[in-house]
Amino acid sequence: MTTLTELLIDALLGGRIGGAWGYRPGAEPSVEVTVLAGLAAAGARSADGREIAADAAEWVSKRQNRDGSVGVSSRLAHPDWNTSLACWLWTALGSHAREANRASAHLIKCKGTTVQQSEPKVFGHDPAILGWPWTEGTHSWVEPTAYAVIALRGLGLSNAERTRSGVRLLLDRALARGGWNYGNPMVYGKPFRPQPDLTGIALLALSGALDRNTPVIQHAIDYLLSALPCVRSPRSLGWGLIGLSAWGADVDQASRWIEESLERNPCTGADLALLTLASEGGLVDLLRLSTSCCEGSS
Amino acid sequence: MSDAALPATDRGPGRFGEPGSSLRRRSFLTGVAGVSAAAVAAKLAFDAQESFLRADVFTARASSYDIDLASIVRNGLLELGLGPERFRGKSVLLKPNLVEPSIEAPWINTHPSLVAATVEVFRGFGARDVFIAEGPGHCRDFGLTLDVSGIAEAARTLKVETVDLNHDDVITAVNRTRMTRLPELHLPATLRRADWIVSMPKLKTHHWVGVTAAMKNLFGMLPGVCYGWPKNVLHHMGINESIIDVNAAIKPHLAIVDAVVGMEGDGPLMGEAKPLGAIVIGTSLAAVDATAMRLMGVDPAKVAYMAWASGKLGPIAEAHIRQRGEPIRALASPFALMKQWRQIAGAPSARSAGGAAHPFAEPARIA
Repeated sequence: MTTLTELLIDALLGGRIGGAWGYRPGAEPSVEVTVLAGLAAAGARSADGREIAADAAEWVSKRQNRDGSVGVSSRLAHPDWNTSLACWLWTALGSHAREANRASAHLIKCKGTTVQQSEPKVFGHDPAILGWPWTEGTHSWVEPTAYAVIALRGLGLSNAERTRSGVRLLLDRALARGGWNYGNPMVYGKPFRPQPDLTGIALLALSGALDRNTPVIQHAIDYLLSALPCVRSPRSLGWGLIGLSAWGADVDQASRWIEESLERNPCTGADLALLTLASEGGLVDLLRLSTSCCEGSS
Repeated sequence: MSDAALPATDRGPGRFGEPGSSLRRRSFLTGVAGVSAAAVAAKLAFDAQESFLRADVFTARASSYDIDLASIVRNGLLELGLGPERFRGKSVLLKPNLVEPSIEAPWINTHPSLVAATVEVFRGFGARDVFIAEGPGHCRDFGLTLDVSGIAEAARTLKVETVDLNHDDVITAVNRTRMTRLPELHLPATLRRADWIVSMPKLKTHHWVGVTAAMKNLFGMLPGVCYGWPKNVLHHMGINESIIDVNAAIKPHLAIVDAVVGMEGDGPLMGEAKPLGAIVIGTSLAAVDATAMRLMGVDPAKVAYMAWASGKLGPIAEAHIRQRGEPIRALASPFALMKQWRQIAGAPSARSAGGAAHPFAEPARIA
């Protein structure tokens, strides 16, 4: 571990409540932050880190609903976009196989709404491609779809049709000028703007699924390399660096940028976990993406 | 879209989109005309519905963001009878519109100078606590949105707290107006801390609902951990309907509209900057929005959610709003409207709440 990573882990542990973490100090523990913190602890590759990660994974397992989905927190059993994230942690630790199977079965069933778009087209993406929504009964978006693709790939379901469809969706939602946003590349003929965090998440989901020289990947990497020097917000910097690392495009200045982010921002919760993961590297291996390839996405 | 893609029935608390046995299942994409005609039929009596309502709205001339905006806001509040005695010792939540970060188009978001000026005014009035809270709809990174919009710099300078409503603890409110099928709304727990909830929107055209101002701005109060990014549940339930339900649930106290430079054309994200030189203030958000729309050259009665807000949330008829400060005609400047929204322009005549519904929306329920 680097000194920076040790500092980050120490800071992360300070925010733990009953084995879990919330979005802010004193906030109700949430599944997302607990998963990210658990992954960060696991990535530290120490005995303490593994124990902390195991506690986090157990806490998350107690949040699983009867249908296999996982909600937002103890109080919020729905929506269930955290189901994918729960799978991430269980995959990384090789634990909770029964819970992971139930979660993946739920993910396979969970579908974003689709529609055949007639002329004149409003959206610049194909709303008929099946992905994952934020909430049941709504359209598919980049972040929940990327989360689900990562989860299913890590569980050995890279070639399941839903996973391949998710990859197709991510490719379809890429912005022409590079990168991704929440999932609207264009509306009424006007291209929308990319965002660093969504670009990083999409790149992580697609790591190993495409050739590195694929234009959509190259454009996304180029976008992050141009955007991140000016970004010190923890979430965007963290995910951006993770996305670049997933494609071997590590940045020499990453540690310095992370330190600057910590200096400028009171980091807690998810932000701190993301910076820790970015600092540690190796999330692709932790999520078992490096050994899971999708056989094409068409 | 087949019925199978719609939510199943009876999913218990906390699930969205329970259809209810009394509702017909409908196709995913709907035409606008049928909805518009029904909306017209239902709302022809809107004058009668709000005939007992009156509201004061203050409109100020504000030529740029570099002038003394604090004096303008202070004078406007005093003109409306909102002096220090109303805010002394109170907690004030300022909710700007920071939908997504953009360096190239800063007119997307409420200008930090107006937010800073408003902080100064309420602190000067003796407010115990003034803080900025927002849940950007298109960007989960609250920090990035604050940085790029300039709000972060203003907050640091003034030492004012910023609160990310998207990731707040959640409370639940029963949806009493039920313009949508949502049985309840999840709201940020931070709302309980505020004595005054102040909507501070940017005045913009909007490609799904025609115009976005103080009432639509409140979408940004719903936690993204419950509704997603974007808050797509609200689109599926009908944006116009959702605006009514959200405003009725949150019950905001005050609006201060940034119309110094608005957005015209393909709003709320890709339109062009439209200098208007105005700030609009009032305690009835429906009345404030109606005034703001008249400044844009839009007839509020032709905007669906405004027609539905009439009487329910406040007055929108010009005759029912006491205009203080500058008269509308002194500052009005028509905003360029997208082709599908041109029928909302102009003086009140035929009341057709039309335009382009969000492609994912279910057909509007008629109030």
